[in-house]
Amino acid sequence: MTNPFGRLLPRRIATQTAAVVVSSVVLIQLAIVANHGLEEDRRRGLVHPGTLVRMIAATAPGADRLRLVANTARAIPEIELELLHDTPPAIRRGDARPFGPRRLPPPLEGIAETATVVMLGRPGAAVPPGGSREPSPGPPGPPPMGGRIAVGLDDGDWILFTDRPPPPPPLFFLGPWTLSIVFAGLSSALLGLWAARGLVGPLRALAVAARDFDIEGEAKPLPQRGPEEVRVAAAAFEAMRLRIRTLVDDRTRMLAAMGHDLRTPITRLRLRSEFVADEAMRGEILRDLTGMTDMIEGALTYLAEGRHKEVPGLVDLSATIQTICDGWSDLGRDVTYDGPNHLVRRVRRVSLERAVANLVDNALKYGTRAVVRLHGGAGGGTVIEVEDDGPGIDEAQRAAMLKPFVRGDAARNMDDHRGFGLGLAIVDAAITGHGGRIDFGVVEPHGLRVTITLPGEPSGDGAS
Amino acid sequence: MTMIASPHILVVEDDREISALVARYLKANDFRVSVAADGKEMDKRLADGRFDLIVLDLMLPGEDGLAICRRLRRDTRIPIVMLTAKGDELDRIIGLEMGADDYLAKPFNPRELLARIRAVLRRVVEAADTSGEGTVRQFAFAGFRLDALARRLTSPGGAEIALTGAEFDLLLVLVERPGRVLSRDRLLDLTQGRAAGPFERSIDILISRIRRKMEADPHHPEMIKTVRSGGYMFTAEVETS
Repeated sequence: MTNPFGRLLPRRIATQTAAVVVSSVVLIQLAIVANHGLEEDRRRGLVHPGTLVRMIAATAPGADRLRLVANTARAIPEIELELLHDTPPAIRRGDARPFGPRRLPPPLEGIAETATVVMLGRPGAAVPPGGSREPSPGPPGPPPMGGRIAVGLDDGDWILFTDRPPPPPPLFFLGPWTLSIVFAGLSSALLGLWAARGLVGPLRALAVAARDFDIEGEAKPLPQRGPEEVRVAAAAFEAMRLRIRTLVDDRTRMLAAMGHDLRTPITRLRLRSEFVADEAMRGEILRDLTGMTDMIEGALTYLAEGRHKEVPGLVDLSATIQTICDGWSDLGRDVTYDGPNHLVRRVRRVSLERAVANLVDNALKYGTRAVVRLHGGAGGGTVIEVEDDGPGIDEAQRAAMLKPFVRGDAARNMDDHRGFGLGLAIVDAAITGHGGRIDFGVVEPHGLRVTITLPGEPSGDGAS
Repeated sequence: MTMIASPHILVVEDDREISALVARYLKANDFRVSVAADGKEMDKRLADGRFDLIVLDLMLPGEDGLAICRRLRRDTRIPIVMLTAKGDELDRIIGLEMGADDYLAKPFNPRELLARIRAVLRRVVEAADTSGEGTVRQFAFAGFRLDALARRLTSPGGAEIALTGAEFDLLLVLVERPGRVLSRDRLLDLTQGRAAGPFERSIDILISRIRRKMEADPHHPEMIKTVRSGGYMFTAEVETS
């Protein structure tokens, strides 16, 4: 997947992450600066009280000054402006005193040279006692805004400013600050999500490919996109998959060739055994040959299981299992079938038949009798149980028993060299191929119960 | 059953030792035997003499067993028993479809080979006796389908029903002779020749197993009826193809 801007985008995860972080920080800063600038503009829009005072001072006292004050008061409703020809009573009483030039509130900065500024406090509020016109280093804290301020002009006139209380701030959530922060947060979050998808997407595709890695199956091509690290990892993964595939194929070919080649000498030996006069000797030779054949067939079956996929078809499982059980009964073994006369399911017949046959084989190897139960499970599933009266398998060993070339202690202690320990591995491969599950249980007083659970839909053909 | 006096078998097998051993074994069992290592040699032997059956290996140098089998089937009606190193079901079916009369996977039990050869020869003789009806390979009855070639039985719903070799042979014998009462001895005689296990089950047990797998109610069978003091009779209508 290529896009025309692909070459401009940074390729490494680190650079991509850095780019994302930098761009979101820049975005937030831009939002803040923009917001701040708006505030500044709004403040600059107000008439500076200092300018106002100087304008009033520059006007001739009398009618002109009165007119100016009246016009200004009309023009700037936020400030109540009053012109007095006398010293305000509070100052005359000495209740308030003038500010030093450095301590004027910001709106009045720069007018102390031409005027005396006295803070009168909020209308109706208590005025600080002992006010005087002398500058004093004393009163702690900056003077409060929003009160009345009296400015004495050189010619004896006084201007009284009264700040109206500021309009109530808009609701917090709708305030410009909040909105811009929310906007900045949202956009950087979205940006982050988008970037994460871009970064994590290819990584996830790689992870999925690794999870679904199937040596037998056809390799799905890995997506060749994403940051360089992911591409390198994908290429490495692909190379590793090829190596494993080659290794497995070589091993499979070797084992298959060995199996096929061994069949010729075994066939000869079987034929030769027919000319052995000693019946007992002949029987022993045949038993060994059968053991060898079983091992080879087991290995070849295990290698083949799941390779050339048998197509599932409708099978009467009852008949299949009965046939296996009858085969053993005919050889004089105690094998019973317990289940319906007909249970039709869509399965891979050869594979499933082999699985059940192997379980019965095992049951009779370790025990003296076997019971095979069949019943339809929930939702069209199927449950097949094979029970024996043998020693059972230790709980700790159970999982290992499903692995190829693993034999239980019981098998090792028995003087029986038939099989590579592939029986259960073949069962496992067959049942896994059906999407089913194998569980081990205990039969009282002693014995093993192997339960095969197959999922599936009930087929149309019930009891026929 | 009519036994042919000393039938002549041709063994086509590239492994000299195996073919020599098979020849020795079959000779010890009253067969005349010739051997061939490949298709060309086989053609020479066929040109020189008359054979009753060919034991054919699947894996041969040059022309392989399947190709030879197809060619033989096209030109002749000589029975063929295939030998192969592969035990796969698929190979078996392909082999049978190529026209082989039976199939045996290596390493085989020599006694099994002997039994198969005898069974095939007997079938050929029977087919000749009842001229015309020997080639029927597909049967349909009461919704069931029986494929003698692939040795497959399917239910009316299309589900495959597993049968042991002995069960299948017995059912085939019954299906081939619908509406005829067959005594236990006759059934035993007709099905004999297949691999006989050490605990060969009686006809009655095989019949009850077949009924359990096929009949809606095994206790009141509709297809395979028991004839009092006579034997068994297949009563369903059979269509052949």
